[in-house]
Amino acid sequence: MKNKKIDLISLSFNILLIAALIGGVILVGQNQNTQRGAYFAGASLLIQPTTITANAGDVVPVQLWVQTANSAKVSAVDVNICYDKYLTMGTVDPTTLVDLNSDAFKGIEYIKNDATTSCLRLVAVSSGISPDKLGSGLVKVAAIRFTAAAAGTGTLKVSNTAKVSGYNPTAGATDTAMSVSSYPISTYTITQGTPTTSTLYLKFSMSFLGVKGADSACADGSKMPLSVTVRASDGTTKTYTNVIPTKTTGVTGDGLAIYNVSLPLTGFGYANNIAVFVKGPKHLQVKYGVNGQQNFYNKAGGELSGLTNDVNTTQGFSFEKYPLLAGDVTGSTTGVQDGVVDGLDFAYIKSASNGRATVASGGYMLADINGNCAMESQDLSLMMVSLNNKQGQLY
Amino acid sequence: MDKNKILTYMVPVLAVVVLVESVMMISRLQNKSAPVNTSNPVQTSVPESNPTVTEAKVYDITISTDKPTYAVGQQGTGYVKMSGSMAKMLDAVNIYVKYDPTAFDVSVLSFDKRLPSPAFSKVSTLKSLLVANFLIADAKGLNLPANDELNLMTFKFKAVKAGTFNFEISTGVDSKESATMIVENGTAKSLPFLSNKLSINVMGK
Repeated sequence: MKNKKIDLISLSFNILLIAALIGGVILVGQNQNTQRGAYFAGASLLIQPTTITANAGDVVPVQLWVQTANSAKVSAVDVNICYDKYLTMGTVDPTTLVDLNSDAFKGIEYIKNDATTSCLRLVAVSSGISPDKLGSGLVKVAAIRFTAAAAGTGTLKVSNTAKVSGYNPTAGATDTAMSVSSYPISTYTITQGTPTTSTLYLKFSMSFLGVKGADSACADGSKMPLSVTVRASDGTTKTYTNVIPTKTTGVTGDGLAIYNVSLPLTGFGYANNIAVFVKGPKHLQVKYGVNGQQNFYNKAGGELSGLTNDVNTTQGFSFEKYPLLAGDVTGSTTGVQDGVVDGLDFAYIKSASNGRATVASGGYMLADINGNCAMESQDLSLMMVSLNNKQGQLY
Repeated sequence: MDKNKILTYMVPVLAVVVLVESVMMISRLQNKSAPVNTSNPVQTSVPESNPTVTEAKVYDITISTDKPTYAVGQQGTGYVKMSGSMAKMLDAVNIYVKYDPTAFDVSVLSFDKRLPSPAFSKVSTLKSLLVANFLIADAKGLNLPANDELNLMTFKFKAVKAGTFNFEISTGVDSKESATMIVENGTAKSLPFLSNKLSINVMGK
């Protein structure tokens, strides 16, 4: 009898222990929020539309929305939206590209567009709106305008650092943070668009390193035939040779002569987001990707837009502040350019400059870099400036 | 003889034989992979022909270091020297040395005092190149007598990771902008040259 009792007690203890073990496992498996009032409500963020299609150069408007749970009232939204490289916000003040929903948000507390990472940080607040008038449920935050920069597929993504805060109705509560449960992603596809069949016109002003407005009688436009290559964002290229620039009476701030080029782009129907490559008879090829360019354009594609089929209305571009680098006069075959400025060019120009040859006004000498009809040490110096400049870009 | 006794003696004998053979084999392998070192105490590999040269070479460009092997974290000095079989007057020397920037931290480029200050010089981790462009302004060029050695470039480096890594002259095959060239005064032509590839062993800590 006594043994039976002991067995029963022992069995009961074992059952209790097993039950406690199972209960412990279940308890540990659950998430325990021990913070007092960590989030008083939940929220999710949305980007509309979720799928976007546009042509390069188009304005791409998107809307940022916030949806609060249980009709919680929202008072502030802090987001970082990354939009990939096929969209751009340009170089303008990003505030001008964001339209807040003024019914729910009164001001932009902080805004910054980082073109390097293609991300926009936006903090919208509802300062001045009384709690009972704050937005709740599905609330539009802002409309944001991007521009389609180049053909490609990318995403608009709200990073998981986003924060939403609102009015906590619990008396005496100080927690205003909402728990954000979703970070939206929209996908977009930018296409180059259908090229036009009518002939577009390319117009630009330019200059040549060392060729001054005064004293460049041997640098008439006819003596400076150009090779001009245009490239669309989908990779389509077309090259036009023997393009004769027109020398004007204008000069740059550094005294360089300004030349104008007007070129019908026969067989090239892309009006927007193009890049232009220009090469002269004694010059390296230079890439121009943006209007008013003043230094090396180190990006893929180009941002030149607005070409039309009317030479009078087509967008004119200003490239004269970034002159063509001079000095590519020879290569392994004497007198034939090889696309680089190196020791061979130096030796050729040095030999010519030591000879101190001159020609009559309107004449031409290959190594006469500044176009003043005389071979001199300055021609060599200009070549060395180009070399230093180009090497700095390359290395 | 008792079988057990045979085994007792045979097994250790066999083990010793295998051990000795292994050591000999590994030694032979190490000897085969070590760079050739003849009378020149500085470590170099066998000179390789410049594949673009079709005429008789005028110059030798040699890359060397003060020793053949380094430990990770150890510093060393590299030399790029040039000497010619005939006297020449030079207008320009453009040097491009390929190296692995993940294997070596290179700094402090210095040059022969007979050369002018380089028009451009840089340790380019972007392009994995040591760059020095010399342009001689003198109308007659730089006089380099036959067999006179010109120290084109001296560089300091620190070994960053273990392995075998190379320094070699860039001939412009990968990129025409990075073509090493020696340009003669008067003719304004580039002169043919041969160069070596230097292999450096870096031992782990």
